[in-house]
Amino acid sequence: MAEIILSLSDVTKIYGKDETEVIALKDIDLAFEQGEFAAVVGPSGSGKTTLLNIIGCLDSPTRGELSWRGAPMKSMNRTQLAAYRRTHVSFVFQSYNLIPVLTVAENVEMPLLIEGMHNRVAIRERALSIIEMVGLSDKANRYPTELSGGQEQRIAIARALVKKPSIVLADEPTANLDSHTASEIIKLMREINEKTQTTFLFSTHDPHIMELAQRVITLRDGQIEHDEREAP
Amino acid sequence: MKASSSVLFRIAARNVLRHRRRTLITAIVLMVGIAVFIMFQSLLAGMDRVTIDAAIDYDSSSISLRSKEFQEFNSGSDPLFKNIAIKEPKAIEDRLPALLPKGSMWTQRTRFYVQVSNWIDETPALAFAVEPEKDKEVFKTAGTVMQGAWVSATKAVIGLDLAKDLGVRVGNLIALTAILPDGSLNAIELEVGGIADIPLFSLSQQAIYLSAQDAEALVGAPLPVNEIDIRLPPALQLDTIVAQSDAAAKTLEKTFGGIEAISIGEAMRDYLAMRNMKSKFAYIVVVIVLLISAVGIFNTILMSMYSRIREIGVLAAYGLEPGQIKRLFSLEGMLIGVIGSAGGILLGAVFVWWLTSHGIAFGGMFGNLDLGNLPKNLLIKGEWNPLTFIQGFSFGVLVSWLASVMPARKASHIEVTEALRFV
Repeated sequence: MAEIILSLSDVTKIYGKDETEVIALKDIDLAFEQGEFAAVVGPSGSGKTTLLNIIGCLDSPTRGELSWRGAPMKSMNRTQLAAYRRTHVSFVFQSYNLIPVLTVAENVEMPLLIEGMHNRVAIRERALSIIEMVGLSDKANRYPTELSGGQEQRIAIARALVKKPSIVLADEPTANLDSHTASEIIKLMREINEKTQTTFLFSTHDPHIMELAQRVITLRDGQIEHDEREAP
Repeated sequence: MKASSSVLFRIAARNVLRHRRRTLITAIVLMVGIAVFIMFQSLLAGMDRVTIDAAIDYDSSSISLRSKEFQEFNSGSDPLFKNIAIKEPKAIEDRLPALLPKGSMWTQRTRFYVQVSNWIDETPALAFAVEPEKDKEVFKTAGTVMQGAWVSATKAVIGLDLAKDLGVRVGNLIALTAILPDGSLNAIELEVGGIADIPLFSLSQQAIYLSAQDAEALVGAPLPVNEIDIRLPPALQLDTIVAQSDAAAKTLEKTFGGIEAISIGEAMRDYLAMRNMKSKFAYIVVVIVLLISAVGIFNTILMSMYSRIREIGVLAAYGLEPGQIKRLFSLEGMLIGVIGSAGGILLGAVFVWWLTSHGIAFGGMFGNLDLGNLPKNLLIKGEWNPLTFIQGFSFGVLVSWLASVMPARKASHIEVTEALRFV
């Protein structure tokens, strides 16, 4: 059995107070192993984004505990949480969120720079090799505005992978793409997952995309309805 | 490990360049403000320079040695100038080379009140008994003689306005009457040898220059000397001139008992005090302009922040710390400040260059109006002062940084999840 890198124990997230209170997640217990390729599915408002935000430490649970390789993260301040994200987690967003003033290569280099890597030649080499992996070597010096949606998302994946994170969190990464491109993007993520053993956790509505996942976690009204793993 | 300042700087620089027009407009406001400050200070320094130079060149010299009793003469209560004369002026002059910087020059003068008459009208005047050749080395009065020639035996030089008052020309005879130490009156007749357009109103209106021998004929020999005027070697900066003359005056006072050494700084004390006030006024002007710029920079950074909230979210999601986000926006503000301030000092340098090479003629503006210490036909040329450029640049960058603190703080407090949802 692979090592558990991340676990959630009894995690509850409540927004608002009293009459405006909304329970986004309730008593979630989950654990993720190194190299998993998991999908979080469920209708709108089921808590998919909240779950990914809590795992990525972009949001904090109201109750419950999040642990990274067995170490609880509850007492971490904003700076420590930033350091955790910087080191272990990467994100792929629904609307790509590439920085328009930076070229494709510079966008991909950005996490390495934020991480504090200094060797510019090494940074560029690493960025170019990842861009090659996502099949966009010829676009390295273009700006995001010159790319198609699918290409932008490929670059966003490259950006997420460049720093070799332990886990990539992708919130509806295919929502803005046509079905063909969406399927290509998920296949690409799966390939990388197999090649690098990076854990992927992505949310989706699309049943075709779900089929590509090893594990499917179904949420409904903030609770886990199913947690199914593909037979080994 | 976390992002180095150079990475933040690179991102900040890109963002500043991303909104070129907005950056340019903000920087231009700052640039004009700093350039005006530099120009204003240059002009003020030029005005001070021309005023102090005029005082040194025509009236006070760098240092004037006088007897302690001289002040009473100035108040007009003791016309018997023999009582206020310097004792043994020659002995003092002999010791000056050892006490003054190399290149210093000096001359004796006797300043006394007379009545001057054109045989029809009579008016009070201020007579200067001079050593004609040595006087030229210390004062520039001889150079202002516009008609006739400088002082020689039996020939006096009078101020242009006094000549106009008396209606005398070169070659006319005038009579000088003085009160002698014993209270009696004596008079001599002199020819108007020259008319001097002295830039100082007070001297143009009442000065008469005559040779020491003619003065002896009027008041008796030996002529009591009541001033030894010293010109120190020239210096570039006005503050250096004042400091040098103050230092030398102190040394002279310590050396010669009973002698007061009046430096140009002391002679122009009131004017120099006013100069500080003018300088403060210039600072107030620059503060107002910079405040206007600060509002512009504040607005630019705030707009930049709001237009990039999602981007801030991405950077934060990837691990940029709140403090680094704050630094990123502060850097953007400072970069605008550096661009504006650099432009400001360049534009300021152009203004100062124009002022130093052409100057502004205020003479025509004020006509023959007595402007106190300011010379006639006032042409103010700018002065180069590196400190003003440094101050202008520093003010600009500092103000820009301060203006960006609040928006930067705001950016660092944005919740990542909200930022990523922001449309």
